[in-house]
Amino acid sequence: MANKIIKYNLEANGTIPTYIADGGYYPKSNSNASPQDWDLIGATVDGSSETGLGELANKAAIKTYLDTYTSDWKEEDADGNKTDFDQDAAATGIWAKKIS
Amino acid sequence: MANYPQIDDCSGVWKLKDVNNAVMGGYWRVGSGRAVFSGGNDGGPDGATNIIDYVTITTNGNAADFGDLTAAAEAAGGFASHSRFFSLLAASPANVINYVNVMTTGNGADFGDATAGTFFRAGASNATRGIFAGGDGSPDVNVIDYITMDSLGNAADFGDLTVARRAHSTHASSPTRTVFTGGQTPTAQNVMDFITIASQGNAIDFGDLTTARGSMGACGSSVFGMTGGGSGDETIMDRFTIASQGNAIDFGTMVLGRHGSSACSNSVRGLYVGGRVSPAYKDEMDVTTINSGGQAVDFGNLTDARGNLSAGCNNHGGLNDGYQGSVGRP
Repeated sequence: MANKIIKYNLEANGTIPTYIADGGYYPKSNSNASPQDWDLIGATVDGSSETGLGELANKAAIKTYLDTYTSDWKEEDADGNKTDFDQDAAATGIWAKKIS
Repeated sequence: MANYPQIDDCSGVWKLKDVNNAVMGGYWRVGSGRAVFSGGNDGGPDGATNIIDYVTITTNGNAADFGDLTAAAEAAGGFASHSRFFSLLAASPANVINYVNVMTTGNGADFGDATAGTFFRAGASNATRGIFAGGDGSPDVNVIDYITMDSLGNAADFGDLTVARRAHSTHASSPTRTVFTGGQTPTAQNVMDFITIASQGNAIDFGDLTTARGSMGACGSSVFGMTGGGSGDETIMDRFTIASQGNAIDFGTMVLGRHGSSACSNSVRGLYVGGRVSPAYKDEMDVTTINSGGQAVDFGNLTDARGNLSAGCNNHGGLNDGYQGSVGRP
């Protein structure tokens, strides 16, 4: 069995789609009405063929996608120190949810 | 003498009929309104602290020493039942849950373990269940845990947040729902989502804050949730109706704009404690009236200036079905 890493929206009633096993990551604003106004990244349930708004087929695809909207994101630690968001680390973390 | 019998203000003689009417009418206050604050970063060489201090929300004044956590904690979720206050130890070890008995000053004791250890979790509760949610990581965490507060033990998985994030806030709970507000992904978000506390499951989208922000305090009555402050050293306070799924409205301003404050309420007054205006940690406590809002006023000072502490009160909205301070004696 296998799952997919995909982009998706919440359902129209605000619930998490049933085909998402682990999601809600790195929201990207879109032009939809709330509650579908974020494109989210998530891992589907094992065996699902759902691709939502599109599959992110490998770690490089995740990073490329993150690069399109997170270039100005900053990480902030508990002391308020800010560092650039690490798209590569984020992509690694997301891709680790892939079941081959 | 109070206008009606209250468990924390019951001098005099009350007729059983008055007590029954108060309970059945939803205006029987069931807790003392003691708020407990634990941990937090005070900027000292050790960073996170193990301090526990407390106040009574009905009476403005400075906090007093309560005891110590078993280890230092920072940016850990906190919440309270009628009798117990809980906090994660989010410094080290990361997933240990401490608790104290709210009405008896003393040191923290081990309760059990959360399913995972992270910083910047949110905490909430009703009278039975305590909730920890989200946290930092790469990616940030979407996990919601719960414990049964009356019995020691480890947390269990509850479901997932709609958006994985850290530094979001709660304490905006009715006995039925808790609403998670804002947070960072790591960018600040205006998202709110909610869960039904009694039944495990995923969170559902709620509406939006007036502005995107994280690292703020949140509290409320059983009807209204409030948030205050947040990233960017905001002064703004939002309010929303917990039973709706609507957007928050601008509700007032803090005395001091800051981030990293925590909040709790006695269902009538919302208290925002500590925080940071970089680089300084703050000991300020602001209080506002949940039903009327407007400009918060100074309440007093913490025993130690610090931010990202845990807070809880034994009379918050999740514990009081009906009593919101607006329900007067018939």
